[in-house]
Amino acid sequence: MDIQEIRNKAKRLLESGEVKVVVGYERGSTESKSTPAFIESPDDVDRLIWDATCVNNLAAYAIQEAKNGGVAIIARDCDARSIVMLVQEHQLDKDAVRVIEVPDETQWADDPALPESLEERRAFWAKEFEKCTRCYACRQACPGCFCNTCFIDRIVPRWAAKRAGASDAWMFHVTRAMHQAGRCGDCRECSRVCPVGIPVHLLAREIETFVGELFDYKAGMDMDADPVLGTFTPEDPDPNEHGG
Amino acid sequence: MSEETTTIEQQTEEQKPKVWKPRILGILCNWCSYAGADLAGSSRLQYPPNVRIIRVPCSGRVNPQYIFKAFQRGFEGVLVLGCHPGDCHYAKGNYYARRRLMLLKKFLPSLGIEPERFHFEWVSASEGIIFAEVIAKMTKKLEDLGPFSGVSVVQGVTQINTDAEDEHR
Repeated sequence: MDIQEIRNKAKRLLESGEVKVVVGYERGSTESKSTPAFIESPDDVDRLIWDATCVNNLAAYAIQEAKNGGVAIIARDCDARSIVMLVQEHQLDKDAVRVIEVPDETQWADDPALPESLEERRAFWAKEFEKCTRCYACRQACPGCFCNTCFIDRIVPRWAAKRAGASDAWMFHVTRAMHQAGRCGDCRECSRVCPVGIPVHLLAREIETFVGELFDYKAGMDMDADPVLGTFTPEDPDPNEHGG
Repeated sequence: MSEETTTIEQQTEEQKPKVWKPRILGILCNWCSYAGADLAGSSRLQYPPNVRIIRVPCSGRVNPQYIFKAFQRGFEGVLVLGCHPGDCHYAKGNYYARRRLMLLKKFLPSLGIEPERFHFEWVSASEGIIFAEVIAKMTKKLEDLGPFSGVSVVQGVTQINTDAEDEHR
């Protein structure tokens, strides 16, 4: 996509007063990096860039920026799904947000496959979570993690200890994945920002697969749909039909 | 003091079960299933003593987190029982529970946990017999599966929890 096209769109939105800020990408500390840019004046739109270094899911800034007036966000398909999801979850007023769509040209790293046997899977995750330093970068980068107080930061009840270690990290990551049910657009930010390389996005991806199978639902596709676990039908899959 | 401590330690040693027995955490709705369990007791029905019961106001109160926590702490199985669909005291709590828990059950194998370790069923206040059967069946299944090595086994070594809470399990 032509960068000039993005800049023109941003300029129009700012000049018309439709939005107060455009969230996009600008050159980072080196040529090989980009960093999120918050453009508030039509004169600054030339700072915006669009190339292979632009990888962040900027939807994570949507809630915060929409509070100060309208916000426009440069978003790939998966990022746009995050924005739709935030509207569904009543975290974002749909009139306060505009999306500047860009094609998804991200070069994704290959995903590790989950092992076949259950025992190997348990060992796989234990080994991965053993590496976790509990920096919470995954949570901070995730547009779906919009709670004011994360369960893991609570002292009472304390769901897991603060220290690093496979057992407590398992509790954190597994619960966080479950909280993303029907919310994850598979942007893979959680894994991308992980300093120790845990493929944590696989957990939410598994959950989204099952959400699709059980409830015929895909996250962030319909602004007017109820969040999948915030609704039900009497005909939902029942434990008695599925062997409890 | 040392004498007393020795006695307690000896007692604890003696009370330790000789044979491995699975432990089940049962989370039961107050209005139907807990009353069903009560009926099983007052009817003098026999069922395996492997279940530890927590009473909740509604199966809709059951956060999937509770189940993860139970597995993290090393329970071999977790059981959630609620009112039959249509019978919820709060009209629809069990319908919300059904969505969450069906999803959770499907998700467990992705973590390497056998789906049989989590059971979820409807038991009404009059179904004392069914309650006893559910406990018996689940205990049997878990005995067949064998001990649960936990969620943090890295290369054959189980991480030792140093939490004071964990020691009081």
